[in-house]
Amino acid sequence: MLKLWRLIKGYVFFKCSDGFVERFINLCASHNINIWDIKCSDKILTGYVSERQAKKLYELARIANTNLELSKTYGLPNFLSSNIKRKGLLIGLVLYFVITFAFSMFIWSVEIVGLETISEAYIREALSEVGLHQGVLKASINQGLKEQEVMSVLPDTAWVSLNIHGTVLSVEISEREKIPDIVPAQIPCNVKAKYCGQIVRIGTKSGTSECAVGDAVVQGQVLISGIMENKFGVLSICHADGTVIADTQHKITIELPMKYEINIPSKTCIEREMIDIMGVKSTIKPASSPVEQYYSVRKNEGLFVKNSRMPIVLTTEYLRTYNVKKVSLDENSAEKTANTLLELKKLFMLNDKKIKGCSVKGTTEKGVYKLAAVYECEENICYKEELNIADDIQLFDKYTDTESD
Amino acid sequence: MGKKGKQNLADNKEKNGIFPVNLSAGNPILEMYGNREINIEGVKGVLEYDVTIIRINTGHMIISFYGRGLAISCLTSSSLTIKGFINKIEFLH
Repeated sequence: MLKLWRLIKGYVFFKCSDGFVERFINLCASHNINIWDIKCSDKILTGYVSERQAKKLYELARIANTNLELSKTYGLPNFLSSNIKRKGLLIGLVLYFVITFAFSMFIWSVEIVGLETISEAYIREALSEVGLHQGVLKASINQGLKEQEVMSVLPDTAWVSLNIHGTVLSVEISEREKIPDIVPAQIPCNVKAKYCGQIVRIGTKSGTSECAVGDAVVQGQVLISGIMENKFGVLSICHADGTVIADTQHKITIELPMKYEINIPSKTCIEREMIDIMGVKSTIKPASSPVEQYYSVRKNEGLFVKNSRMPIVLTTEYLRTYNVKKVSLDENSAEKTANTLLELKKLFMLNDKKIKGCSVKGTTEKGVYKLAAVYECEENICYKEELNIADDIQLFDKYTDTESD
Repeated sequence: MGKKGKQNLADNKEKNGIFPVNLSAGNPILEMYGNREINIEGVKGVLEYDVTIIRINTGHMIISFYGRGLAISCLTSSSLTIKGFINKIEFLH
């Protein structure tokens, strides 16, 4: 530290010969002139003194009757005075300070941590919406306020934390976990029908069964009630539970136009390249857009140095023209395609159901091929709904009225 | 305790060094790092300076440092640092 300070202030090498060198040393000490690295051999004294105090040594040397010689100067003042004419060096020095100090005032990169299911691109877009992107002035970021803004833009996040480490904005995100649609066991509820159907089996664990085997039920009808009556006629509410298996019907319809258009990309592709430095965009490989119809695909490549993202993004835009081709289907090929689509849809919609039978019917109407399939299934149609006392009070009254009658 | 007893106690305290020596004005303070470096506080002046001998005036005494490659690495108005290979230190009252 002391060496650095001496370098900044500048220092001079001196040489003292003849006379009383010891007296010269004592005079330096008494006049508060700091000298260091003092070596003396054969009555020749050498050492260093600060540039500011160097001139005072001449007077002391005269008193001590010694010959003083100031030879070399070291440090920043000497460097600056010898290189003041070299403008390039000066500009370089100024640029160095500008780059070091001015650029450190901005956000160079945004890092996102803690993502599980949400895509990074979606988060980056949302962050730039609230003004958190590369090139933003660090001082302009009000962390608490921005965290709230990000939370309002991203409803799927449980909490967001913004931390600025140097020039890197680290965004920590915790995703919101969707609460499963389950009524807790201690809360009174009814069991209702998810679909319309005819009941095949009933297994009541708790609550009062409101239907019997063979009954037809509609969607939303109470199957097992959460209101129970004991043998003394006292009513109580409970968490109704059980399984109700019913025969149900599910209809899937596929509509396929017999004539449609598809876009076939051509071989010609135009590339445009842009560079984004600290939010300032400039084109490095310009190209005019094609006259024909085209679609564009963008590829962003960030620059990384030792796993840290630099504020430089190279964007390549691919402009590819396409030809529109008209396709017309005959009934057989339309049926084949519709059947494939139906199988796919069935896989998604009826995966957890036991299919007992199905009837498929295909028709052509106004240039559209319609494939309607009706699947007969056997499934558990129960779902639990929390008992709303205000809504169910009529039902409760009905019970009490019947009892009083 | 009589007068004689009190006198003996005072003498003993002085002898055993109950009061720190450096509190008594004028004594130099020497801080040694092996025989390679010495910091001396309370220096009044340098009497002799050479590669083999450095003689220092501290007011109460003259301290001589003998050795080889001796050099004063730092000098202020009241302290100095000697570096080198010190063989012998001599105190002259």
